[in-house]
Amino acid sequence: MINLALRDYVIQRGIISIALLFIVIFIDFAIFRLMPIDPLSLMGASRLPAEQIEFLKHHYGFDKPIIEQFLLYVVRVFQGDWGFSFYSRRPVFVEIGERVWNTVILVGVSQLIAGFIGLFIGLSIASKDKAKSGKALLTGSIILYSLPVFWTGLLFVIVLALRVGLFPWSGTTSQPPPTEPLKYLLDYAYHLVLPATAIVLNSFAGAAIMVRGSALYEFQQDYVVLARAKGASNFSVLYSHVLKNAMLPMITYTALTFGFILTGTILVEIVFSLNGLGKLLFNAVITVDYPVLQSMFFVIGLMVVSANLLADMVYGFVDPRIKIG
Amino acid sequence: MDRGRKAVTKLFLFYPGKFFRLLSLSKFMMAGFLILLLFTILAIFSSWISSNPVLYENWHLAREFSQPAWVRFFDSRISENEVHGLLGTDEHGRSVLNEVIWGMRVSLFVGFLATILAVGVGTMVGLVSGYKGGKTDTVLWTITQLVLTLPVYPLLVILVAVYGANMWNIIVIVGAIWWTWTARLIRSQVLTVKERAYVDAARALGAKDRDIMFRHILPNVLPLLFANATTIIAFAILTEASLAFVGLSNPNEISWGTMLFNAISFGAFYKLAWWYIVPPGLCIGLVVLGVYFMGIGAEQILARTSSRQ
Repeated sequence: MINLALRDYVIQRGIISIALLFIVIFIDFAIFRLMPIDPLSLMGASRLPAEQIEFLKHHYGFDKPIIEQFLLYVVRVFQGDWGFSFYSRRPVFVEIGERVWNTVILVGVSQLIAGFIGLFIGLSIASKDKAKSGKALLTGSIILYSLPVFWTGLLFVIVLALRVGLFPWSGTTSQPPPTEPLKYLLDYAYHLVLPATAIVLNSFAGAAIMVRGSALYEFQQDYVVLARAKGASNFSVLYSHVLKNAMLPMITYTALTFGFILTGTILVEIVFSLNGLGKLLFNAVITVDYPVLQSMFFVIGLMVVSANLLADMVYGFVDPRIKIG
Repeated sequence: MDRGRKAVTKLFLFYPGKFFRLLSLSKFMMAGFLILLLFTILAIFSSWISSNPVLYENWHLAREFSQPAWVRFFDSRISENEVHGLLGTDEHGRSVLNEVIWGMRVSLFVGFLATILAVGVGTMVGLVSGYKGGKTDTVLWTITQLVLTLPVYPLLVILVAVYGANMWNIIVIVGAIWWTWTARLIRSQVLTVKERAYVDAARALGAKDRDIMFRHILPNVLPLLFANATTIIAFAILTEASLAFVGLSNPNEISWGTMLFNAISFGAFYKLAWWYIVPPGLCIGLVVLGVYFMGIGAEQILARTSSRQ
């Protein structure tokens, strides 16, 4: 019975995610078709002879009805035919495919660290909520959370990388990159320290504020009162009872704010010239590279939708009290 | 709970003196309010105390990337013509202090106007969706949830890149993205408020749907709307700064984000020009901090006033 409910839940979430993905593709398609400018003149094709313009129109399917164009677009998106970058003239799929893993690693590493730090700081704020130390920690978290994450990165570059010279200030690896795998890994990690720290400082503060809220709610629940009445120590109430329940909203929180987290990561990548999606986006905006921007929205949409789906799944398996709807 | 919220709204509208006494109930609220007040006053009077840094006639023609004047107190080796003003100069020898004050105008203007737009649209959608129910609710709520799940930033980047990076476009586009946060909150509130007895009473007396929504339900959700609006101001200001940071802003309207974009584009790094990078980011952080503090303060005050009655 429970398994059946879980299966329905998984199917329902899956259908919603697929629908969302199609909406992302539709927006991508619509923005560039509803534009006041003809897509061919964007490519700089207006000076070409008439028969070449006809050829291009036919090649890209602009002479077909709009519905057919959309279907063709969907098929091409899933085939990985994302057009060519106006700037580098290379396939967009390759351009993004080369860089997306650097972004995924940066997001993954920094969010894992931020999640753990945020959970423990949030719990300790909640357990000392009325005391001075709790209030100071809360205020500190809010201050860290308000600072723009790319600005924290800029300060790190100027002070820690350029002035003090502790860390490299730009690039994913040193140039030329080390050939030995172990040395390459160490070099990669060394370049990741500053950007990851900038993101962690921002993300853990947000998580801590959220965990504090849910932990304060849990403190008033009957099971905590019971545990206290049975003589459990503060430490064991906090870490063996409240911790598990305060962790659940963390999953939803991370998924819901994943779009913001990715935004912060992209901006930090720009600051540190990491070879990820951020650098690609920055160059695409400057060179008005529409195919890259269009695919970027799809890729980031895909990442956010999968993060939400993953969170729903984890939540469904971790918490038996799942509700549909 | 209801009476507490109504009292806050009434105080805010009719008794400003008492309103300030209410503000002082929460230190967070007071701090946030003072920070925002200071920035708003500076933004309003910015054309008196500074001049548009974009116009060439206002350039001070000091050396590019001069350090702040007070640096000489700490390091006497720096000569007098290597420094300029309170915050030094940028890549064209323009005063950074002037730019920071002038940039306040765009950042706050975009922040406030986009918020008004977002909160207005969101309130309407939330009220109608929550009150009417049925098919209207299904359609509006589905749209709200879809927009809520979309990755906001790349969408904004595309929209602004396609439709042009002028201030009004940015205001409309930012507002058109953030209304969902208000709509979600208002709808959930309306769903609980509309079950109250006085709404039934009003309906029994023959009040129109419009009157029930705006005169009976809306006043009850106003204080929460205030807390929500503060969050959206913070989002809007941060969004404007993040767009300007990748170069999506009107070059003739300098904002804090534009300053940071110029700083990284013109090699403030190599010059170690911290005086060019610290002030704009600190200002963004302070405004956002003030806004968050006000949101927390509003919650604290609501909790206190409602528990008292």
